[in-house]
Amino acid sequence: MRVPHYDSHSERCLGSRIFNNYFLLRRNILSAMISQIVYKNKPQTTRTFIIVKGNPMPEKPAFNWAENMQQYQKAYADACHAFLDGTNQPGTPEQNQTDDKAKVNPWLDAMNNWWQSASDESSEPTHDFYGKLVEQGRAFLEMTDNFSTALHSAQDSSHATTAHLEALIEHATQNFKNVFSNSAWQMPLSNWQHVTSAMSFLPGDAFQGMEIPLNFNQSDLQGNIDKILSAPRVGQNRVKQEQQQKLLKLLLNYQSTLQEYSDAQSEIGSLSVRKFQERLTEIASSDDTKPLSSFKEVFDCWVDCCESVYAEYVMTDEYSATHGKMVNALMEVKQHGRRMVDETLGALNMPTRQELDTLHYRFHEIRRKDKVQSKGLDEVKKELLTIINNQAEQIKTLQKQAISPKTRTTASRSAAKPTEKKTTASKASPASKRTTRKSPSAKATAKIKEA
Amino acid sequence: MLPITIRPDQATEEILTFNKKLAEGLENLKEIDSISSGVTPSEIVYQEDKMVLVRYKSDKKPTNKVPLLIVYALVNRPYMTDIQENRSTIRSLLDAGQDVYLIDWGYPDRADRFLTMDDYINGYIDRCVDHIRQKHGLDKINILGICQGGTFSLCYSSLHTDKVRNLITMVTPVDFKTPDNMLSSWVQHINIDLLVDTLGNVSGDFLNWTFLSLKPFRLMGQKYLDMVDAINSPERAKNFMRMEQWIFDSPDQAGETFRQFTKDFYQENKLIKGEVRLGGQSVDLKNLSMPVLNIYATEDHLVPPRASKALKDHAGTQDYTELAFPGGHIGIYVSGKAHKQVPPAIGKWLDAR
Repeated sequence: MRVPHYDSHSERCLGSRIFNNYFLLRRNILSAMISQIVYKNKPQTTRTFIIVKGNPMPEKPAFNWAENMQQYQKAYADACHAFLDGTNQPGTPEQNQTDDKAKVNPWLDAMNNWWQSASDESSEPTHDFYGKLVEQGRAFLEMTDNFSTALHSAQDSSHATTAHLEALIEHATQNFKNVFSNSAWQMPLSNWQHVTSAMSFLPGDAFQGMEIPLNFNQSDLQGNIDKILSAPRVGQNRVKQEQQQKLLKLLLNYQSTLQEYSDAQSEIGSLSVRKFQERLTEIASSDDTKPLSSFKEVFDCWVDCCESVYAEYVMTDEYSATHGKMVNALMEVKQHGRRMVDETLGALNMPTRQELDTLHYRFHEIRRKDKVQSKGLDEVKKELLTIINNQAEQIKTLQKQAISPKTRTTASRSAAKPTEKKTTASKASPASKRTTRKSPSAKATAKIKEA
Repeated sequence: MLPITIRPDQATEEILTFNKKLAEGLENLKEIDSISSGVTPSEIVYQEDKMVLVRYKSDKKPTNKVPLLIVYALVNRPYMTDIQENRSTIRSLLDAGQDVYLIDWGYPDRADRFLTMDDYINGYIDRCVDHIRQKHGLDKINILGICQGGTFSLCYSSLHTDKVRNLITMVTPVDFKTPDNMLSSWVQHINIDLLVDTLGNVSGDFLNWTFLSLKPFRLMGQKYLDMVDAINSPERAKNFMRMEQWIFDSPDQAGETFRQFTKDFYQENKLIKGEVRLGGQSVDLKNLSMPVLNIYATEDHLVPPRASKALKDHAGTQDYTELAFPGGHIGIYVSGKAHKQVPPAIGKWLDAR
């Protein structure tokens, strides 16, 4: 399993703690400032257009397995009856939405009961996985529920008039529009928020809680806030104030790029719905294509449409630029935030990230030099060893030659007749000549070997 | 004709079956306590920092006397090549008579932020190669690079031709700017210097988000719904969980390595231009004089086939072979079809050289 990064985690926690109050304060100030601006220019109804969604923790009901199973079975039965009796009838999308709120989908109800038990009882490695499974299951069951209403009126093929067909296709696409707006299908965006949460002191959904009304002109707001945030600062805390102003500007910039990214995802959604509609029309008008005969086939067809639209859309330069802008904007926020954290840490006489980076950098440089030197030393050692071994070999050869009988006889004769030295030397073998010539070097080598 | 013809009784049956399978699946999932991967016995033969060189053990003696070193990517973990008993590329390579070594990079932390591509390629890889050469008393060994590890192997082999006998690349990007390369398209507008200077190491979560966003509806949606059909079998549920664990087990990337890899390779496509520089030397693919086997997956969404096949035009070797596997980036290691085709083909190709 992965080793947790305690250092980065604790730093993030520290960063979070330090900035927690700061951001709360800033957010309130920002809200107040925006309210003021809007109050001056807009009717009072738009005064508080930024609504931070609350995240109330629902009370967890006590879980009873037997009761849960009973509910589940009942849900099955109810769903079967509802479906077979044709209780659900197609209506306008608005009517359906209202109806959906009023009634409880028994399939979903059963699913939710299962999930409640699963989330309590599943082991750690399976928990996340099952969460994803259930999320997709929910989306699927929502889809089947909505489809069932449309399909009741289409059971009889004699009803397949053009108007009815159009209504069915419209209903099917509308259904997927609803499913698409479900969080289970906002995948790139929701996952991005999860990622930013993991790598930033800002919670990933920091901006998700801000609701901006449709009639709101963001560039107006941006311009006004920019003016306020660009106002010169004076006084003792001038630097601090400037830093905070810059952070807010960067945050707003990130918010704006995130909105662009979100818009691009929404456009992909709309195009996917259109593509799905075209695909259904294509199936309806073709005699060769088999109609979709199960919910899973409908679902797979929808996924195919989404993927093909997505693959085309995200390869455009515009999307690439939007994607890049969003990542860059987040990095700017985070870098500025990191500098501010570092300053705070420095003030607390704690080591900063910058200092640690410098140390790590120097450490790596030293290691590199050390490795090069070690490698060089190893090579020198190898060369020396080769030289010594070669010399040792030579010495052995010479020693062998030195104690050979011929050489020994010549040597003893030389010792016995010093007057004949010249003659003997001239008669000596070439080997003994070499011995005589190289004897000082051989002595030196022997000394090295001894050493 | 109606485009959707689902009879009410069929619909009810389908939903009932779906719920039943989901319920059974839950029971199976609850039984899973821990998931193990890396099934083939191995021993650590060399270790440096967080990097570990392992040698795999086999009942059979290797028939090929030249050992094979697998260089895995820095992204994700190498146990994917040995994920389960009946889906192990390592096991299949051993069965094909190869003496297999693998580099496991470990999990870099912030102290590793300044590790460069030069450190990885001319440092760690070179020392692993030297270790194996020394141990076997050989001048040259065989190298198999996987994905980013394949790109590293190309760089290494072009700089150390005297140490590489045969080179195999699997799903390896070479031309990083083919028009079908989604990753490359996305990265063009990202300020990499800002990103690395800010984050230090680049988190595995960030990379995972990028990879999953390549096919979000399939990889984050449909896949889980399809699994409902499979998790009613405890064994299949466990196998799926194993894959899930691998997918989300993403080490962080050492910042400086990420900087160079993304800028030089993805943004500026320097590898095929011969402009990559490592340790003061230029990486020139024309130096690749050893036999090269290039394996790519025809359905690869991470490394499009065209990005891999570009090697043919740039490698200097006279002995170039291509092997196309009909599958995806991961399927090439874990599918049953791949196990029947790919490792035996590698073994045969190596034995012939």
